[in-house]
Amino acid sequence: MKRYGLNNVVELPGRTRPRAEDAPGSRRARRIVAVGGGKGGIGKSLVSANLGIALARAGHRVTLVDADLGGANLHTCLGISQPQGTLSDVITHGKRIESLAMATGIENLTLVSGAMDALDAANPRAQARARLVEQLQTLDADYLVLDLGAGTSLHTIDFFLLADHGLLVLLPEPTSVENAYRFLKAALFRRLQHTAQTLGVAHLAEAALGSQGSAMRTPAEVVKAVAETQPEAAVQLERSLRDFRVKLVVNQVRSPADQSVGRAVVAAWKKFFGLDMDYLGAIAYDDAAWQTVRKRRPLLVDAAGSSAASNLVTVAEALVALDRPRSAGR
Amino acid sequence: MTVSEEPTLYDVLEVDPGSSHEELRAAVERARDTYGTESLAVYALVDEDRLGELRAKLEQAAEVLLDPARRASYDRSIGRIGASTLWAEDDDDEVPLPPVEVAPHARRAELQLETAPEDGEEDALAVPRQHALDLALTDTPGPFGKGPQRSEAGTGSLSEATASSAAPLLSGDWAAAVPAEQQGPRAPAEAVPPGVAEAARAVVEPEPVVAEVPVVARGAQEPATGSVSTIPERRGLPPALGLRMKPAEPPGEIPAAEPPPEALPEPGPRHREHRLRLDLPADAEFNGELLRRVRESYGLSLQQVAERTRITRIHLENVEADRYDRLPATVYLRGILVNLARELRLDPARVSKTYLLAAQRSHAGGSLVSGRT
Repeated sequence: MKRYGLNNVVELPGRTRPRAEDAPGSRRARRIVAVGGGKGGIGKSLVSANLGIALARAGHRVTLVDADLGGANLHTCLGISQPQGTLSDVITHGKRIESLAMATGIENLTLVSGAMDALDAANPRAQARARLVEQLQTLDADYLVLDLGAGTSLHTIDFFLLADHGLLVLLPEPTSVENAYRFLKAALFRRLQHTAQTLGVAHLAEAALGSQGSAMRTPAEVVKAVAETQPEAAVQLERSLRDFRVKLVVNQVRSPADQSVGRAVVAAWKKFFGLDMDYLGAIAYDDAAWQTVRKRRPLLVDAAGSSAASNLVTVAEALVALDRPRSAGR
Repeated sequence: MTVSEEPTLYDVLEVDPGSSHEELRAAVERARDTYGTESLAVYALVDEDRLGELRAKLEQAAEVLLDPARRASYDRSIGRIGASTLWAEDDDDEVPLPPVEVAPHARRAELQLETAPEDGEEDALAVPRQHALDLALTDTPGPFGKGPQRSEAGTGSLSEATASSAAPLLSGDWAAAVPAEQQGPRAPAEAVPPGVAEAARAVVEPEPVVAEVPVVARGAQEPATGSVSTIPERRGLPPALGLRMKPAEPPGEIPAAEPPPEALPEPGPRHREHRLRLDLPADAEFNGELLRRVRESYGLSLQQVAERTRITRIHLENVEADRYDRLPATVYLRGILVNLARELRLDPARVSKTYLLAAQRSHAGGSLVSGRT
């Protein structure tokens, strides 16, 4: 697992902004959804684009943000060839994100492209990253869908952590599962380290993490170690970790066995890491998916009747269901 | 948060204790699908050791809970004791614990001091004794009998996860040992119909024991042995150990449907007739003398142990005599000690660690590594 030194942790975005439902003056129930998965080519962009479309069609105002800073192609998935303004303008020229949002031809859905040519734009400095995050958090939309890049780079992890819903895409294949777990662990432990630092128990958490070599400690073990000397901090730490509640989508499902992978991952993650995961559903392997990508037309637009398309709608509905009042009080 | 709660077998399978047989069967299937070697969901999630431990534990839960008789017995064991986990904990020391698990011993020792005097015949002990018996009679492994209070399903959480992954897990032994042959002259259990084996034991093994506590329920499924109603107590044991014996058990069990994971150790203790209660301190230092006393407390000869463990008798003798210079290199010696400890129902890690330490001390880095065999 990739480990981060504590020195790098400072700028992790906290959820400092009051939640919409907490703020009497706010008219929005805004949610940030980050779509990640560690591995490339597993359909993150396809899920992001079509999730955005499904949400927009359901009446939500949605902004898609291509946060795959090094390999942005969400615009291509939506049939937009050359975006004029991109996130690099926020990062390098200090523009506001709102000014970059493009129409997509779908009502309620706008896109902020991440395509960039500047060599260093894919690895923004901490300050630029913080500015980006701050703008994302205040963007005016019901749903903000972030399409993350592959890998476990810091900014990818941080985008995932700042989201209300970290949505993990995986394929029923060992390579994808492996990368997905690596991604999850990296995110979980970045969160742990950040929270521990905020609570002033970073040294304890670090000691607990480090005492087993490179092997993973479970969150409970770390919490327990902290609790030995700092019981109150441990309570808060546990709460913070419990908030790390990933949403799972299994893509390219072909067999009945594939169908069961999602539930199994949820069970296994819970078993070993003690954390809940919400399974949003599976997306069938469907020729329509790659065919529409080649046509540069979104699946939900070009092949709305396909099984993959209907699966994506189901996933979107499951996601929205999580935001209903019943589950609002986390 | 509490992380020390040990899960029940139901917790392990993530089912409600009131589940029907079919529901349990489905849960076992689900667990095998989720955590089995073919499962994608555990690929690269945690290290193999941890996974192996979980698998062994799941198999154990399946074995007990899918057998109605054993399940009933197990249910009694967790239902009868109310809030007290005393006796369930007491069983802890029958399963070798992972090295970190020193605490349960200590905890149990305290509890015993409070409520369970030495081998007296107090009436007050009859009930808990009975509980311990149930476990022993049905060959139900100890550490799962703990605590009726399962963590609330669903809400559960960090602590639950710890209980199932980081907490003392089955040391493999159990799953491997269950189908193993019975002691002494008897044929392997699989080859002998239960009734026959039971009868054979009655003939072959008169126990040199004193009656201690009357036993009532053995369950209708075991009419042949229903009359065995004593807790045998072997005389002449080293007083310091405070050994207590458990009575005979029913013959071998049906093997698990799946072979145990390969992480599992070699055959575990097969001498179920003499179940030892060791009141060894948690920090017991094992040397040859102590190992010999434990072995003898089981009534096992060196030859018997050698046959079961496949450790040569010479090695065993040398281990017991602390003849370090005649023992093989540390890496092999550790294997011998671990095997021996399992056979003697001791904590393998503890035994090997303390024994090797003593060997090193006496040697000051001498010929332990010289590799004589």
